Amino acid sequence: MKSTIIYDDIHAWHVFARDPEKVEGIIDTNQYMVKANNRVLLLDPGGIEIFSSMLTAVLHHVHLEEITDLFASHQDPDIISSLGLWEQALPGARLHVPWLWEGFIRHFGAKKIKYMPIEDHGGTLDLGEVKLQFIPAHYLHSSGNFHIYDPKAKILMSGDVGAVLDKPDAPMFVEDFDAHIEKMKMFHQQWMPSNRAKQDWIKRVGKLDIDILAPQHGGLFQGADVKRFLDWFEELDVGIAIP
Amino acid sequence: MTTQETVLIAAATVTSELSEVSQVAKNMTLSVMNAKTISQCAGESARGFHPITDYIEDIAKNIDHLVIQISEEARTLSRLSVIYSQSEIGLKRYETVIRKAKDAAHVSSLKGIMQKLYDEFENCRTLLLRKLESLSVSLDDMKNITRSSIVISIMSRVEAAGAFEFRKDLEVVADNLESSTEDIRSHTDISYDKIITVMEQLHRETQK
Repeated sequence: MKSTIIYDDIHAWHVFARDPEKVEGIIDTNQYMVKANNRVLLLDPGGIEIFSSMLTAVLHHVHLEEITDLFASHQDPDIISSLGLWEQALPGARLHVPWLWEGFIRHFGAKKIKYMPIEDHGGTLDLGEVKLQFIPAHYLHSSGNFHIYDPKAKILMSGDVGAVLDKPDAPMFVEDFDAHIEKMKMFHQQWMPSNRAKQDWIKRVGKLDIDILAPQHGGLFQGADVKRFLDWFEELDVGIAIP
Repeated sequence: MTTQETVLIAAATVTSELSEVSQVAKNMTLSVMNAKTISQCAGESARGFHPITDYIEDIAKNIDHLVIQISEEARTLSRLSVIYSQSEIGLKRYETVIRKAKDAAHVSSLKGIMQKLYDEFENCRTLLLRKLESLSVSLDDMKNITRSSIVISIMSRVEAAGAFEFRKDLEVVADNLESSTEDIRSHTDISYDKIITVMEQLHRETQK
């Protein structure tokens, strides 16, 4: 699995993706890791099928005992179906999840891990060097959904917003925004159900200072592409699948 | 076929076959009520048949109790097979990590976890084997009951022979008992064979 450091200062952000050994037919996912001095957080650690590759990649950077927290933006299997396997290695870890999905995510087989339900209005996670913010993103696409904003690194981990189901060898960052639009359009119109929810998110995220917008699938947006994406998304009509 | 699949199929087979046994036992109870009435009408000529009807009643009750016990054991077996499978899958995924992460800086942090996973897997296998053994003993008990039932059906036929004008009615009771016993034996044998096959598969895996 490809591993890239996207921010490296007192704390660091890693993205793990583009697994060449991934089982055919499974969508590619971006997993993230925030490494602070005494705490390590895995964000949307992925599905059961990529667990071995993901843990292997993680072990190149951190000792297992350093991983203290997991975050699941929502309940989908590509986000967190590996939970039961992670728990084998991290029985003392805390899992931050939208409160709405706690009882559903427990179906992925973790009993010992400590569930930290996130209330609808969001909250914060203090990792010492950095205080991460849980940004509400409900109905984008899941009805209980959060993104994570790092005000120091100016990174917004944006879950399925900004996502693209791209080729397995796609670049880690978006290189041609205009070409990328074509890939994004159907995904956002089909997966995102609510224009109202989208506008609320745009308003909320528009106030943040973002250098990197990091979705769970496909290329990451950086620099001017972040604003380009927000402007494009604001104009997009979503929830179009109703016949 | 994986061990979990074999165990799940075996547990489902036991549950299904035992459900048939339960139905046969119910029919036996009805048949024994009929036999009691006939033997009462036959009076002195069917004197030897009275205790036989009591035996048949006891057999039907014992079968019913065993069916409940075996069905519960089969349910537990299904649950254990799922836990066993999850444990095996988890272990395999971690073995893959060990293989792939040979040159990773922090691979040593997996050492303690691997030992824990191996121990848990062995524990699951032991529990599964114990439950299979327990189930095979219960099914063996059922087979013993059918052996007693065969003896009773022979006795009932002998007693029916001396019951003069009620002979034919009591022979029908003996026929019913004989065919019920044969049904129960057949369903029990199918279940027993399945359980023994799984036990052998699991033992072979343990030896590997």
